[in-house]
Amino acid sequence: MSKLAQLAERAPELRVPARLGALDDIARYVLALAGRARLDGNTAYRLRLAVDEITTNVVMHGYRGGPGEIVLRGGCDADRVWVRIEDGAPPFDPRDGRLDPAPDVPIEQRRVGGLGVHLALISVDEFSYAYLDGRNISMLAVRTGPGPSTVGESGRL
Amino acid sequence: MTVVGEIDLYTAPRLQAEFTRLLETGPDRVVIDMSGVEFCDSTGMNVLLSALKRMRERGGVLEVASPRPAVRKILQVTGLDSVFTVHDTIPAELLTAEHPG
Repeated sequence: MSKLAQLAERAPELRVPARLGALDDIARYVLALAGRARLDGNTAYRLRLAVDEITTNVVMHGYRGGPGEIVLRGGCDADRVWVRIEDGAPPFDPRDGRLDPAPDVPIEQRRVGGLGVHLALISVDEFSYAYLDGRNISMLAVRTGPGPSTVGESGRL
Repeated sequence: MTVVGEIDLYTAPRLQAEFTRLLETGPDRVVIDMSGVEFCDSTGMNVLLSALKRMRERGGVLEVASPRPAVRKILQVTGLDSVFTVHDTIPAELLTAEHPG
């Protein structure tokens, strides 16, 4: 088990039903975490946006509006703040639903839906996904100090 | 039109409904004051894009004014800043129209 996974097992937990109304609780959880970690406003915004986009994806496309649960665990270590998002929906790697911006496409044909995943991925410095024991597990992290991003996006938010 | 607060999947339907109500009045130009928008995700961007499409279908324009830096950045990275006219501040002519005398 990785160090981050071990930390996740001990982190404060938020369990919410996979419903739209839970997004507010999720936002409060992430912002409280950001506050404890003393993240600057922009980094806190990036982490919140990424978690919002991934959990929105779980509600809309994972459980497809049906019943389910989302479990968040978050914490910080020396150089990063991380959030682990876990759900019991059918296996789905969020990166498979990614839609990159298409600035040359006429507005009439523009789609924004999949851009949520794009926004999530460019918002964080680290992202990983695994399907373990029947659970989707996405791990998102933002760095609190200088260092290269493992996501490697040029259009960092 | 002024939008304040947070736009996400939970609040987006309310914004969508407000757009629908506004567009029923037949405006040829809508400027959205986004200075009070503290958070906006891709769902919010989708609502804006949908409203823009509907405005264009009827020959109108929809513009965005005063987005906070984080919201402006989202417009940029989603490529939507190329389809919206984005004003740094509320256009002066609208301020005059809203506050005569």
